[in-house]
Amino acid sequence: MKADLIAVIPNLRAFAVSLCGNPDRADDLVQETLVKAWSNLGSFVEGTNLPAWLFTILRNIYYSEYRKRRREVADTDGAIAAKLAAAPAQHGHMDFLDFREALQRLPTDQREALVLIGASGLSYEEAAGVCNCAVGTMKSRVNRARNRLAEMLSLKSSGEFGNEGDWQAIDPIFLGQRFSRTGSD
Amino acid sequence: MSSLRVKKTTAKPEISDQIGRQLRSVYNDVLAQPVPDRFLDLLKDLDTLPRQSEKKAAK
Repeated sequence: MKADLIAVIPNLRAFAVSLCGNPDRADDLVQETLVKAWSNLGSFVEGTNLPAWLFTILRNIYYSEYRKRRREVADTDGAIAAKLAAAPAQHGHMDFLDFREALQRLPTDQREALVLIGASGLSYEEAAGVCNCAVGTMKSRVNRARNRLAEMLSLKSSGEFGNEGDWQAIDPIFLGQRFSRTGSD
Repeated sequence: MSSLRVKKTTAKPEISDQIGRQLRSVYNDVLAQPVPDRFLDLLKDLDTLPRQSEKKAAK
């Protein structure tokens, strides 16, 4: 079981970062998740999806913590948004809205839906189980997330490059620019 | 709320693909990192501690 948990840790970290947008806080979330999972191993049903079970625990910790913080500190997301808005443009005149920033600007329910379905490898049914919602709700959240991201990203690029057709043409440059630099983030 | 002003369109397939690629790239970036020692140490510690249920049973 220990080895199984270790194998899921990279997934947990990736999910946690996408939820809270902060690598340090994400690792604290993962730590709490592992402790909680360990003391509740008895409630894991053998043969079901271990990552999904752990995502559920992590997500519950995140939301209970988030609610607590909302009461203590005003508007965590607002503070993050303000920080992002204040950050200087780092990539010269190609002032694209960074994909990570755009992702963090999505409402949390849409962001987690998109990440669970689009990156973590869970099925709609499993993701709906993690988020405790209907499969149809999950699908509509993913759709809204995609539309919203498309809007945020294309709004930025359309000013620079004119029409949408041009946006498609510059796609490889965009990808190359952003993801060759990820190590410095 | 301005977030509700989303246009009533479905993202085009190419755009969905592009979002999917970027999303996986962001996710895989973390996925590819080695497991930090703090978690390996944590699990080692947890493993040496008696389980809560066992502790209760022993009392």
